[in-house]
Amino acid sequence: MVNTSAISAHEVDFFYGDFQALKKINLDLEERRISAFIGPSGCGKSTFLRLLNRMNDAVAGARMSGRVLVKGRSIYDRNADPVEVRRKVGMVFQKPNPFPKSIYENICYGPRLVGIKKSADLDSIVEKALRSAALWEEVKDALNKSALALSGGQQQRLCIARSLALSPDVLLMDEPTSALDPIATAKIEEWIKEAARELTVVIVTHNMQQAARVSDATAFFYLGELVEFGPTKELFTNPVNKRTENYITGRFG
Amino acid sequence: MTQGFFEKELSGLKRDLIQMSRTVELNVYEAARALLEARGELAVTVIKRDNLVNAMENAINDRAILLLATRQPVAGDLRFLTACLRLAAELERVGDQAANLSRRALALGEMENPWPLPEKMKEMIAAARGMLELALDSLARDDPSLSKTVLTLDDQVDGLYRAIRAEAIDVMKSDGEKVAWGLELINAASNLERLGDHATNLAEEVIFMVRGLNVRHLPETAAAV
Repeated sequence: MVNTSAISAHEVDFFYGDFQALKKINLDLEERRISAFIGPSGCGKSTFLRLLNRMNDAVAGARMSGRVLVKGRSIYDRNADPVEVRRKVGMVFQKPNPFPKSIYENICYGPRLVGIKKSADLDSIVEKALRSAALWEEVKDALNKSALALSGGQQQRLCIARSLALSPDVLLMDEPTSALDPIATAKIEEWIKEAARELTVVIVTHNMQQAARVSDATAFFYLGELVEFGPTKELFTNPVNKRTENYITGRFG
Repeated sequence: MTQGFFEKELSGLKRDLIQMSRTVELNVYEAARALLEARGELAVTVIKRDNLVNAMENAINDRAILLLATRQPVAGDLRFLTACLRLAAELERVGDQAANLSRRALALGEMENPWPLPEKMKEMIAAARGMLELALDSLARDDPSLSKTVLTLDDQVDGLYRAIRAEAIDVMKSDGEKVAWGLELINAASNLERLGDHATNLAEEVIFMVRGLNVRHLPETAAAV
């Protein structure tokens, strides 16, 4: 099977005011693969992740040069709609952030915003999203229950379902399990492996063992540079760059 | 465990491996002398010392497995620890071959009127010991270029084995009284041939450990070393 590029970055520089957070990033992420971004705190991996769906637009003083393409189309063109970008490139954050609404209403929120109103359609979307997030069986009899009553792991899967309800092409995950216990973490990781059959997943993680377990490709960022990017198996057994080796073996970072 | 502790553990394991390799190398040297010089007492020493080699293998295995379990190593550390397990196993087998060679020396030494050892046996001993020395040097120095040289020498050892075997068969055919001698000689040559194979395996493991290249059963990949 020939994989095409889901997301590509070309000569991307990014600044917070005068501080250059990203330097000449060139990266191609394959479709329906799981790509992990690793690196020490402050290396730029989360900044770069947020560029992929224009979440940095709202940051005062932030500016970017270069190009970011999703499925071959530039997402920073003047005529690109950031809301539509964020629909197709969903995001899940470190701390689960369900809305203070019912489980059902959490999932429906996005679809309603894009104009889906019929109950039957919404019901179908809710079930499909919760099944896709491996949460349906646990909540199907309590969809009117408050999302805030769910456990941390369930809330995170709800947030995943909320993104999936909008049928994204890509799901960005910024340290999605760092606030979860090991069992919940394992469930999310299982979900990620399954989801990559249909979806492109990009995950930022501080947990290198997690990156090694779940991802197909890994990118190592350091001081705003992309130091190395390659198949996870190779990066974790025989990295090309000495800085990569030093980081993943814990000799710095 | 802190990172500093881990570094010390890795260094300690490397020292243990080198110590094991020196013990094994000594055993091979003394087994060869026992055979060539009919020194039964050396042969007995080698056989007893092999118990120490076995204990060293167990100790290295235990330490390496513990680090694998507790540190989840990656990259060079992972290759080093997995190599430790395989290197210790190969060294233990070299030790076994040295002990077996010593048993051949003892058996030949007890024979009345044994046939003289063929010159090729001396050549084969030198060649096999040379391979082992290079392989163990490559391990001590983390130098895959020495390992690459080892890979080219096994054919010579194999050729000498076939020649010695052929010569022994000729002697046995010509004189039925020499069958026991001939069989011990063939066994001794077989021990040395196996020793050459283990030296090759050691060299291949060092290449993987240092360079991350798998050249086992892939001679074409060795060209990239």
